[in-house]
Amino acid sequence: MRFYSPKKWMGITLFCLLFPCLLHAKEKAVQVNEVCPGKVEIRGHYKIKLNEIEKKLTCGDPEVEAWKEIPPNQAKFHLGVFLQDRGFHHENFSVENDKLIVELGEPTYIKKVDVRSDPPFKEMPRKRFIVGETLTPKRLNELEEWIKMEVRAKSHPCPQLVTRANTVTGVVEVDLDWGPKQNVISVIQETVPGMDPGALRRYDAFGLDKPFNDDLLELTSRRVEESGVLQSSHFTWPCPSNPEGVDLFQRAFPGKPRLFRIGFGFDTEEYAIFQSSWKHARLGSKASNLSVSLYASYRTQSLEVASDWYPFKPLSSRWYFQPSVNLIHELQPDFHYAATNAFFAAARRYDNQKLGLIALFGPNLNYTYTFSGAEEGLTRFLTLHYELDLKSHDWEYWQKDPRSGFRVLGVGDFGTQTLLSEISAQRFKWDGQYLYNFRGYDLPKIVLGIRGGIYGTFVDQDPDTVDKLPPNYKFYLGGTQNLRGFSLNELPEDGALSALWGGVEIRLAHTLPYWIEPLVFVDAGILGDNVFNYKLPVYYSPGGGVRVASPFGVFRTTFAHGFKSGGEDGNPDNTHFQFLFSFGEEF
Amino acid sequence: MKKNPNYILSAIKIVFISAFTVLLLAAAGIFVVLKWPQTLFNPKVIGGLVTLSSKFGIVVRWDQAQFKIDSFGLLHKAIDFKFTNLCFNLGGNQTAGCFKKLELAGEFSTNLRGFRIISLGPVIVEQGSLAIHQKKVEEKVDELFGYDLPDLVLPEYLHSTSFKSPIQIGLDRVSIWEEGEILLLGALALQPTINGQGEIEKVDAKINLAPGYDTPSGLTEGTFTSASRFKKNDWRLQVNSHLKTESGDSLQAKLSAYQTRSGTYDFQGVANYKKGKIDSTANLKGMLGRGKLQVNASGKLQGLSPELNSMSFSNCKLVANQPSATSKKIKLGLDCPIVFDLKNLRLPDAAYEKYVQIPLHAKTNLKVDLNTELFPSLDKPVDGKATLHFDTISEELFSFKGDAETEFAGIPKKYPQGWKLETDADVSLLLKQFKKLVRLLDKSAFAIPAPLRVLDGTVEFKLKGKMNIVENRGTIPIEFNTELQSTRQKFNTQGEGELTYHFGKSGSESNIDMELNLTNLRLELPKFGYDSIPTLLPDKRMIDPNRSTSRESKFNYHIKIKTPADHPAQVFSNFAKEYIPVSLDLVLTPQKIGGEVSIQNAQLVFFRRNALVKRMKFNFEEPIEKSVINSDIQINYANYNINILLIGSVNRPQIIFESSPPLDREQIISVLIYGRTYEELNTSQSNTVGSVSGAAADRVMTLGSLFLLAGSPIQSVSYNPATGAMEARVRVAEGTSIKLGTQEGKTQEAGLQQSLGGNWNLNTFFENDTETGKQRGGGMLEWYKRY
Repeated sequence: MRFYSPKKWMGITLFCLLFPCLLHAKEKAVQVNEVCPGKVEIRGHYKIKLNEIEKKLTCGDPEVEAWKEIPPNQAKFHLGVFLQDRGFHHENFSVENDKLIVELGEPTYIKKVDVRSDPPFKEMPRKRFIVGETLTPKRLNELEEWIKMEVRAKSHPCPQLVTRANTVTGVVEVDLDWGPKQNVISVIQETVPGMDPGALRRYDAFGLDKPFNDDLLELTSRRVEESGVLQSSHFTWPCPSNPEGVDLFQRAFPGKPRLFRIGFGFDTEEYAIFQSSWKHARLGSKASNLSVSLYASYRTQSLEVASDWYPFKPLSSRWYFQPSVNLIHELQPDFHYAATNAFFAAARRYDNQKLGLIALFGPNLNYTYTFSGAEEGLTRFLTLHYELDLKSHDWEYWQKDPRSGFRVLGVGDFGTQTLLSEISAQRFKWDGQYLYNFRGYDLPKIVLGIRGGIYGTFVDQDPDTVDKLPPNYKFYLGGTQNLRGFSLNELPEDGALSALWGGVEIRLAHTLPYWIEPLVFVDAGILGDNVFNYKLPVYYSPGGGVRVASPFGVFRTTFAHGFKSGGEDGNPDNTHFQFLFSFGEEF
Repeated sequence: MKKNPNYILSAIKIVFISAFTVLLLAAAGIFVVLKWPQTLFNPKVIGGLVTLSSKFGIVVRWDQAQFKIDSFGLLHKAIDFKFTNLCFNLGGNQTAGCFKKLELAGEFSTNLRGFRIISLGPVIVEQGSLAIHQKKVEEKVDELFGYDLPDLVLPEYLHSTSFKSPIQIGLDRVSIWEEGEILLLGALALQPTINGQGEIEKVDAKINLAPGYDTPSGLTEGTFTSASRFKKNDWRLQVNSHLKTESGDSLQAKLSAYQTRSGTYDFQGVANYKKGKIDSTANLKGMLGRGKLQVNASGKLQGLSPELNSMSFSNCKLVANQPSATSKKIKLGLDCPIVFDLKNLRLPDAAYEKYVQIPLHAKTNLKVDLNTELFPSLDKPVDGKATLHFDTISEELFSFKGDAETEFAGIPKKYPQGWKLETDADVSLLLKQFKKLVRLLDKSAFAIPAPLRVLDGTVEFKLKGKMNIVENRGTIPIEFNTELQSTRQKFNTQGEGELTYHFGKSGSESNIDMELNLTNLRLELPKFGYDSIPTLLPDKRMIDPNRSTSRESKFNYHIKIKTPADHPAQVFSNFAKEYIPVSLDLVLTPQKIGGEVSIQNAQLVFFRRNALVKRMKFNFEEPIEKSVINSDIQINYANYNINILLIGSVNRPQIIFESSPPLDREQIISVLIYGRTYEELNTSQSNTVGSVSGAAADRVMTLGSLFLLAGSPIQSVSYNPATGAMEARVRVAEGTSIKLGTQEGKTQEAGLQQSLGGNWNLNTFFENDTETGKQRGGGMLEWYKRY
């Protein structure tokens, strides 16, 4: 069965206006659907398809004597329930020539949702795809589940609901009992053989004695699973809860600790690629990990051995070490080098109720042999490398369907000739992103994204030093991640020592069918030959595109024109229309 | 002092002389009156006497009076008195009256044979009114109907009297008062018919009762005749009565009665009584004697109910006896064959006529023994016994027979308050062939549903035992027995219980309290495939305001359903190779299902192997999802014996996986779902094991989910702990699979990592290379394994 609510029809109409070639309008025609040949016929504007068991309960089961024949009134009863499941509440039954005729009528659409509670539940206007949708038990379940999730995210762990839906008016009334507002007072982790209790607390996105928030529990579980320490994990809590507060219990399905992966694929830059990794995700009682990964493509080959090492007590400590060694060989049109890195970082995770931070810093010994793109020869760097990754919880929670929150990612190195480096160079690269969901709809309707970055490398400006500077100490703009009116890393030709850029994007989300989300944007940036010393022109690129969040991953296409203003860069060919396609990439 | 005898003698002389003088004067007076009666009977003297009587409270007055006395001899006189507007009052609240015209004439003589009324008449009372004030009389014991009807015979001294016309008494207004209130108001007219010999041939009487009082209003005309001209008590009475009540009830009756011997009267007549839609006609014939009343009646009642054309009775015998002359009670016996003439009810479909012939007549016999007060009154208690016998009705589809005996006691006016109505009934309705009922109802709204519709046999419904019926409420003992079977099913039950009902103005309420023993129950379920089980009952959250009923009708039930301990119900399903023995001990009420359902030692196909259900008990609680399950299912493998224990509420059961030798939970689930050890699984399968394990540990795996998993070729299971939703991918054919959600709800957004089944993933990715500053996006087809 397929039918659309009025809002969906609006969406389809808009889509038809945008893509008239892809759709053709269909007139509603009365369909006759003989669900039980000779016995039951459904007439209406909608196609009803029953599953196998529904058919047996409606038409009979020829294989079972007692169920061979279903009398019309029993078929009518079952059909009434099955149609209710599909949003039809006003069907008419009649008998013509011993055949049960079902006039479907029109489905009931939800006109209004009235949530009665004290204090008032003000979130309802944010919820999309309830009002205007067909009134089905499944939709009511969805509504109830959503309200519960919203309430649980507001520190009420045990809400209670009573729902009534008027099938004539389409008005849904929900009596909501919020239950007590509570803090989390304890977390007990299900025993995992070989792993000390409390080892998972480093992934917590919430704090003890802080307000309960179901979203943060979900985020914590996701972190645990993504780290590989457990195969799956989630939280439960008793309802009604302890009057003192919420006692959480963290379920743990550890799975096997070792994970081996091997894969083949493609890459927009490197075409065919091969990748393999091995990881032991639960080393020791504190669940440290060790991984070995191999990557090979036409342009890049790398081997890395890395570990997250948790040596400290108490177990809930978020301090850890991150030693790693890697070998890399890269052959690019503009440069060619081979490098090895030995990095030993001290790292710390930090979370409060709003945001999470991962910070790591430590010495990184790098040997790079440059074949081309800079002065040929071996270059050695011993730098103090740092990385800061600050994410708001909602950004992290909605990472797979970006809609709100912010992220700031900073990476940098401090190196000096006085300490084993051949060149004194300090580099930094800070990116930021902020997403705003207009009117807070769930699912979002219009998402505003603002992003930007500031990059720079402090280095002596004498030509010898600059020439020796390896390609990874220079910066480029262009491509899907910054200026979308220019091709990948098109600006400048020989790299810059500083860059500043920003972009604004507005996306119409979850409105059109087939996962299509149109977007418009404008990006702008400027480059410099020294840190904070920017030179005109200013590059900018307005454009539009489509994001398609298919079940197989996110596709994005953009079409923009690159412009420059305020000066010349000596390259008349870099202002042009640019079409970009990306897979798996978000704003 | 000694008395002088002369004084005594003188006194005797004085007395004697005085007495003689008085007697002489009296004799002279009588002589004068007899000789010249006008000296006394003239308006002046009578007026003086009336004036004198008023001194004693008796008031008599008139406007005009004529006294005519003809003397045919000293002792032979004829009188003719006429009054105009004569009124009298006997004083206080005594009887009073007025007559516009009063005339009394007659001829009298006295001779040696005594006083004789030679002739009487004319006697005329015109436009009279009479008010009789009576005191409330205390009840007194009397014989049944023991006050003889007045002997309608002329006194001896009138036997030779010649009556002269006209004799007519017309009282336009007769009222009878009691304690200041009018009990009865009406008009009375008596007019004897005199023949040529001066004899009374007949007496016509008319009583016209006025409306507005306790008594019915209307005209009753009667005629008394006598062959002996009322010289013997051989009267016959013909009465025609047409009475009405304030509420519109009417009675028309024609009655004739006569005395057969002293104190015994025969009567017969026809009466028609109408009350609202009820129209009844009765022919009565009977005898009224001292302490005894016998009536033989036949008649017809119509308009009792829409379904009933009429109720007729013939040769209906009513006998009333007073046990002794001093008894305050009478016994009343009724033996009455009654035929109920039913309307030709329309069946919902003409096809039903083949099986159901609604009888047009129902023959019954009603016997009643009633004890009541001597003078039947609605205020007096009655008690007795009524027996009703239904002749057997045998139809194509069913047969019906029954007897009912009711003992009753109470005060009619206070019914049902304080009434005892105990009925001992034995009424049975036997459905001879269930299959015919199935066919009969097949197209109706009450069609027998699958899987019961293939059954055949008998269904018997009985009302048997004592029941209490009072007005619009009562209790009826019921029995319900079935003996039904088909090739693979049986439905034998024995049920006993009570039906109580109450019909009120605001709605009706009924309740069945019953114990139903499923003595032999064997049922078949349809074959379930790999689809998720659909919704079977309407969602109670959906409310259609147009379908609510204004008149409240409550049907409550409390039904205990049991299977014998040694003969559990047997359910056949494609989940089991044999019947699944199910023991039931349930209590069904409109609000909830309570009790227990248990399965013991059943062989099931579970996780594609033969499993032994060592025990499985459901204890129903309210709400239903809080019902408790306690079960132990054992599955034997070559190297392991696995036990699945389900304990706790059905919506959140605790599922414990045990084995011998001991294995951990994931190993057991792995063996159950995939028949292999956990080490042998690919990563997708191990994820499935993880999901099942997580769902089981979270107690969100419902019984339906477990049985779905146990009965389906599972490819993978995913579990979303946030929503508690499980989704299973089931392989239905090589290369084809379907998704089954075990809980409705919103699924999470698709992730970036898509499992392709087995150990294969499709990874889409985007990376920022912090070293080179380059961005990369791509897709990887990846094989992975946890170990």
